[in-house]
Parts: sequence; structure tokens; C-alpha cells
Amino acid sequence: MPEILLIHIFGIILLALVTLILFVNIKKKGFDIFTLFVLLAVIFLLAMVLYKQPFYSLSTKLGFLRPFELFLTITSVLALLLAIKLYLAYKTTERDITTIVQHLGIKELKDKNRIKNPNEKD
Amino acid sequence: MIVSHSKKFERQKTEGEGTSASAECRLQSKVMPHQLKQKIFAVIPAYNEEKTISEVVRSTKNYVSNVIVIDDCSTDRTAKLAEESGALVIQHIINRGLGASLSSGIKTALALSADVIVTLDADKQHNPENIPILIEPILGDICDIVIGSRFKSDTKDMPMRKKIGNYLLNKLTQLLYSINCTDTQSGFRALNRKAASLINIKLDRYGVASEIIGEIKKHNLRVLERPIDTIYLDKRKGTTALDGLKIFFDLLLRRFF
Repeated sequence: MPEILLIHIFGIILLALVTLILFVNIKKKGFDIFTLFVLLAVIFLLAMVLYKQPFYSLSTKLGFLRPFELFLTITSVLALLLAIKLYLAYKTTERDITTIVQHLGIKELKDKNRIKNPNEKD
Repeated sequence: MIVSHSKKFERQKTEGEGTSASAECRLQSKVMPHQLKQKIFAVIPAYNEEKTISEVVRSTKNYVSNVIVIDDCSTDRTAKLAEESGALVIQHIINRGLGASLSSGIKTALALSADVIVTLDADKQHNPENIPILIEPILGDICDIVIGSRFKSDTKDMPMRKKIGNYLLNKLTQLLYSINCTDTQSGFRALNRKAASLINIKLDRYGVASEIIGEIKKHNLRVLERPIDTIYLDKRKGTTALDGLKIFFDLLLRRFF
């Protein structure tokens, strides 16, 4: 029976939580490339927690001292990608607000000055 | 008459003189755009500019057929004063930034059949007397867009903070879009109808100047630079270093995502 450390329990709980969130996300929005990427990362992390020894040699080969450092690097990259995705979604919302504001402003001007777009048909 | 002047230039072009410096110099003569048949629109984005907007609109009206002021949800009397001065005013109900205001103005000008669109600031930084210098190359069909460059004229009045900021943003924009332009951040520019229709402004805030440069490159538009006079009334106004960083980040995302 391998020794179970506190980090393993935390890792398993965290991974189970992420998997659950992903599952709900897939059910709601469908399967996209980004979800697949996150899912693969989750499987990788789960395997890393369960099979410590092979990952130890893998992380050493990749230039990390311990698998935990490899874990930290991967999660940092993942967090950065998520932040960019979130920022892009925020920008899209901002853009939509701008479109509405512009539409209202231009419409008000046209109504006020009875301006008709020459390209519009009656 | 400028119309015949433009025709003369067209003739010179077909006769082989092309875009020689002498031909351009001939076009530098004083032009009164209100004499033109072409519809020239000025687009002025404004946010809390009640001190200067009336004067800017009135002096700009001497050089263009219509002035559109975009009041970006000002809390002062900017919209009212602009309207009283004879401008068409678009009012944004929420503050959306310089890029969004420019986009609103350009869309409206295009809907009103504008042939040439001039964009300038509402804070009197740009001298409307320079409008003829900007629109002449467009009327002569030498180029699609003319950028008024502050760095092609005397820059001794420009605050050092602005000089550094502009230099960095210039270099970053040139790096991102590989375009040779001395003043990528200039807000004083003239566009023909084709350029105004093709340029798609997606950035709402200050990044718009660099975004326009990117669109020029993307659509392979013909661009020229002309020296302009610049007056710095409020030397603290403008983009900060933090704004510069945000602009660069937005441009990176715009470029690669």
C-alpha cells in the first residue's frame, strides 16, 4: 500500500472538482478545443498524482527537480490561458455594449435631424 | 477652384508626372474645401470639452462641409455647445472611449455620403487650418489616408512625457505592423471613402490609433504623412505609461487572437 500524503488528497479533490466543472461545462456548452485541452491537462495531473515514480523521472528529464514543479509550471500556463480566454470574453462583451451605444447614438441623431441613409431603401 | 485643380493633377498623373515631389508641391496651395463638390466631414470625438468645443467646431466648419461631434457621455455642456455651434452631435449614453467615438463618427459620415473624412481632437490640440494640407493628397487621389505628423514639424513644445510615450508606442506599432510612420499615434488624419469603409475599428479606447495603422497595412491602403501644428494646452492630458502597456497588450491580442 503506497503512502498517501496530504498533497495527494488535496490533488485528488481538486482534480475531481475540475473534472466535475468540466463535465457540467461540456453538458451546457458542448465540447470545444479549449475544453479538450483542459481535460487532457486534468488527466495528466491525475496520472501524475497516482503514478509518482514515472513522473519523477519524466520531470527530471524535462529539467525540473520534482514533479510538483512540473505541476506548478503546467498549472501556471493553464491559468494564463484561462485568463486570456476570460479577457477575450470580457472584450467581446465590451464590444457588444459599444455596438448598442453606437446604434442608439446614431439612431437618435438621425431621428432628431430627420436624416435618412442614402443607401437605405424605402 | 480645387475641383479643376484636382483634375489638373489627374491630367499630370496620366501624362507621366505621377506623384513627383513637384506635383505634390503644386497641390500644397491653399484650398478652401467648402468650394468643393465633394462632401468633406470632420469627425470630432469629445469628452468633457466644454471649454474648447465651440471654438473647434466653428473654426473647423470653415474647412469642411459638415462637422460631427461625438459626445462620449460628457458630464458637462459639451453636447449642447457643439450643437449650438452647428455640429451634428452623436451622444453616447455610456462612456465608450476614443475608438468607439471615432467609429460612431465615421459610420455616420459614411451614411451621410461623405467623400472625405477628417478626424481631429476636441481639445484644440489640432489646428483646423491644417485641414487643407491633409485633404489635398486625397482629393488628388495620391493616397487613401493622410496622417498629420507632429514629428515632421517642430516638437519643442511637446512635453517630454509625451515624447517618450509616443516614441515607445511608435516603435511598438512599427514592430507589430512593420509600417514606416513617424507618428502612429496622431489623431489628426484624413481618409477617403474607400479607406473609411475598409478600416474596421474594434478597439474602444486609445489603442485605436495603432489599430488604424494595422488596418492600413492589412488593406494595403496608400498612406502619406503631412506635418501639422500642435498646441498643448493641457500638458497633463493624454495617455500614461500604464495606458501604453494596456494598448500594447490589446494590440497583441488583436494581432494574434
